[in-house]
Amino acid sequence: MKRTQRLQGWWDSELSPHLAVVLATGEELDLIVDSGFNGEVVLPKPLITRLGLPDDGTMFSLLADGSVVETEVHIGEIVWFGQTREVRIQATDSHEGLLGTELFQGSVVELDPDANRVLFRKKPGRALKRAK
Amino acid sequence: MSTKQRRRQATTSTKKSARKPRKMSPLARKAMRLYETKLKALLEPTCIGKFVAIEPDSGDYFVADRMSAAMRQARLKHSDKKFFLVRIGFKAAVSFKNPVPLSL
Repeated sequence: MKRTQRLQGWWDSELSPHLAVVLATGEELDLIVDSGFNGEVVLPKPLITRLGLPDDGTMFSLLADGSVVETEVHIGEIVWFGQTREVRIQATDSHEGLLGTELFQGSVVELDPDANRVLFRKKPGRALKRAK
Repeated sequence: MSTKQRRRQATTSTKKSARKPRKMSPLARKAMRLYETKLKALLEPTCIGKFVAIEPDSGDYFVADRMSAAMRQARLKHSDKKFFLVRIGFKAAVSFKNPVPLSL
């Protein structure tokens, strides 16, 4: 599999950055790049069911209003910088998928709406930074 | 404000910030009981910010820097089980700063 060093997305008319992410099975997902979400991937429930993503358990999620809810976790495999990577996918009742900052790690992310630029560049060494 | 009132206020705010979901699955309930009674004291002094995947029936737990790594380790040992994921020292494993409709 070819090692891609850059992943390029786009901005929509509502000023949301998007990235097309391909599952290892070949389906393409249109995800909103959400710097306010610190997980990996969120997908609509019907899509998770259609893709048959295996159930892996649950976790608590802290929502924007301060409430905590228990959410399902599914296992998925995405092609990330040309390599297959296992990710945990949370189910949403929304029709939109999200890509969170857990996947930003090891990349430089450029978001420039004026130039319609959404760019993930792979860093040479893998960096792991977590806010304490 | 008296010392007694200050103490009561501190206790109230701590309880509010640590509130749990109104609805919890049996998996989450068992795993959180294990976390609160055993794992919290064991892991919070040294592993804040890491993830722990808990298999509550066996009591096994798997700590890693990334959520997928913790869950993968758990699945390697218990291929037929489901796990509860905790971010050590945090009230939720992940957070959403923007409104998003989520439910179990």
